[in-house]
Amino acid sequence: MNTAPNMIKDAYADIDAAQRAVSVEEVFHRAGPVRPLDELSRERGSRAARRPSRWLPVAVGLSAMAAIVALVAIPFIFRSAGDNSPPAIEPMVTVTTEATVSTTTADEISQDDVDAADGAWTRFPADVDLGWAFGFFTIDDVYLRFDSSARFTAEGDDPDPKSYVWISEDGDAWTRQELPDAVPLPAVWSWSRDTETVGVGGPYVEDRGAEWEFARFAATIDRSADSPRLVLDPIDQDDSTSADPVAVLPDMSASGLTPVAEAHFDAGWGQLPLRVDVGDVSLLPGAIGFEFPDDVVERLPESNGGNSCCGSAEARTGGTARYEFDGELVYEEVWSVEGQRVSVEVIVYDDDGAGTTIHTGWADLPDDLVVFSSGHYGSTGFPIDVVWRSTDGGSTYEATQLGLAVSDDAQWGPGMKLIAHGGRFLWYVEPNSNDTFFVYIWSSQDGLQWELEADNVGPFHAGNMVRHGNILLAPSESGAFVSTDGIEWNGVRMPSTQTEIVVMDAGFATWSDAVHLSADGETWMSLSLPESLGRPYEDYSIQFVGDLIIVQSWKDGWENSVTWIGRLPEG
Amino acid sequence: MGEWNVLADQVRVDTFTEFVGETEPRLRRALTAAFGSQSGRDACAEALVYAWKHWDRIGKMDNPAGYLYRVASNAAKKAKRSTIVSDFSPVVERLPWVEPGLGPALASLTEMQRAVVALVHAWEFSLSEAAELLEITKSTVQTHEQRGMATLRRKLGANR
Repeated sequence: MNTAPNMIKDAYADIDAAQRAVSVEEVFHRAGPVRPLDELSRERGSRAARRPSRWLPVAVGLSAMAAIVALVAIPFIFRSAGDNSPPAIEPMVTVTTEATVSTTTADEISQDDVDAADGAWTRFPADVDLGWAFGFFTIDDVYLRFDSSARFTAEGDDPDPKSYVWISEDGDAWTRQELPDAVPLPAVWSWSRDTETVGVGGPYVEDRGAEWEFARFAATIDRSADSPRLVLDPIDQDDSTSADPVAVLPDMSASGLTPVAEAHFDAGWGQLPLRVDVGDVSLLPGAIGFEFPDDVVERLPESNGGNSCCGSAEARTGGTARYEFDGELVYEEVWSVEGQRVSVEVIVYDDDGAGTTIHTGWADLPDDLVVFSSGHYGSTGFPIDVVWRSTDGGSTYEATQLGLAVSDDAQWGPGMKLIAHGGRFLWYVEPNSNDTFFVYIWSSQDGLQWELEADNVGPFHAGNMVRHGNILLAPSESGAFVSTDGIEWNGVRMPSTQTEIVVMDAGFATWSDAVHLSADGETWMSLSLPESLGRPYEDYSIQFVGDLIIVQSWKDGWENSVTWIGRLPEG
Repeated sequence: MGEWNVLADQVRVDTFTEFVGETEPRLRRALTAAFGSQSGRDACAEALVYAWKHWDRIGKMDNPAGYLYRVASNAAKKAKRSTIVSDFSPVVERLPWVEPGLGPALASLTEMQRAVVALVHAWEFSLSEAAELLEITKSTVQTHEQRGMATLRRKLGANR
């Protein structure tokens, strides 16, 4: 269920999966020359010194490996550039001082801002310090960046904050359009290419008396005027049962996922977020759940999160999710599945251990849902939890029935991936992703009969796999793995150890100290970041929209964020 | 004598390596929750470097992890590393079922509330375990947890 504890758990599991642990070798490296090594070198003649310490081979090996990697990777990385320096990004943005907007406020962009341009990168207008880096899309070949005059802090200068969108046809000249009052102050924007829907949520500034609002709009571009305008038509959400009204289902085609129409749950809400289709068979990797009515919530124990569980596994197959706090059972959710109907009974326990049923809810799954499956995402202490069932409710399968060795160890986010590729389902599982990332690959045509295609492939992070065209790319600790058929995987070097790879129109991208680009996942080129990105900054984010690279850096919070724009090199 | 020095150093390395293996995950996760992914990881690494340089003293402490959390926390505050919102951009983009407002909602919590909420709800620390790592009392942990979750639920519009 999409409760606050579950949101936190999922979010931090994802962060943790993408974050490298601090190894003892890194600590030694950061610490500089360490005494044991010095001692060993000085006492070369002693017997003990000739016996290498446990970590000495590691250090030597790492050094040698780094040298080898550097020798091999440098020409490899910059092969496309033809020399040993990262190619400069082609200058692209010439911010116009003649901003024109068809019907609404046009803010003139100061040339001073343009002067802040740094080398090959151009600084976006300085007054566009988006507090949230998501609002950058292309709709109908028009670049859009959403903005507002409200900021994170309550000390914002604008007593009547407005929502805006910056618009550009070519990425060079930008104009600003004020959005209707019906558009909440944008804190979050999302865009679905499939449904041509914009979702927005906000505002952040609580003490202005505004509540958090969500809204969704059908988005189109009006080209009847001199400059294109964004037209947003509100979507009536009265009958919507979405768990997350702002989260329009995104374009996940790169992942082989297809958005599912929102499932209607008569008892509260539920969501069936994405599905993978092969023919007329659909598999759903994701969660379903109920939100309990207020009168139930009021009776639930305040602190249920100490050992909270999402309950979604039980929702699929039936079973009981027990919620404990400080070792005391506080309530249970008893799930049952019959045909298309999923039901739940909520039992609250008092201090004496007596249980009282306070709620019974149910939901009917969509008729066209043939099969659904899921993995338990981002929890500790749970084995891989993959089940699916036929819609008649008569067939329930668990991972162990496939002969898969299921680990008892904790599983983290990158542990599995389900895609449709080459006309069949491919299911990637890391049986024990805490220790190794070797992957088992299963295939199926109908979602019920599965064959083990390969085991101990990789190692790579299956959950972070991305796709561009028919090329699958999965990051690993030391590089990446590439495949076209999804079964045979070849290891390739990567100029970055980032485990996050994004798909852009032209291929793949990742970044660390530079932006790294590849069309095929095998040959990479690196682009230097704006020099002043680091004077100073705390962190930065990157988006790839069309042929634009948008870098947003910030310091001392979002109020001092800066946006830079570059263009992908041709070819 | 030289051999004794080397053996002593080997023991020092081994005990520190074991300490890092046991402590790093929870220390990094707590600092990540408090200060963000990049800053939190950096703070964790710097704290462990500090521990290595002062291992003779820190290795004898009753609660070295708690001490290092304070070391890292102070360093991160001095560096004015306080943004956490950025950490959720990849999450929200990749996972449509993760509430997009979670990042800013977490950012609105105090550092301690955020750390407690993450430890208890994301990593399933017991109140006692969180209290030990953060070097605060169990009841204080509970207070931070309840206030933090109340704020999150209000900002997220979540009933639970």
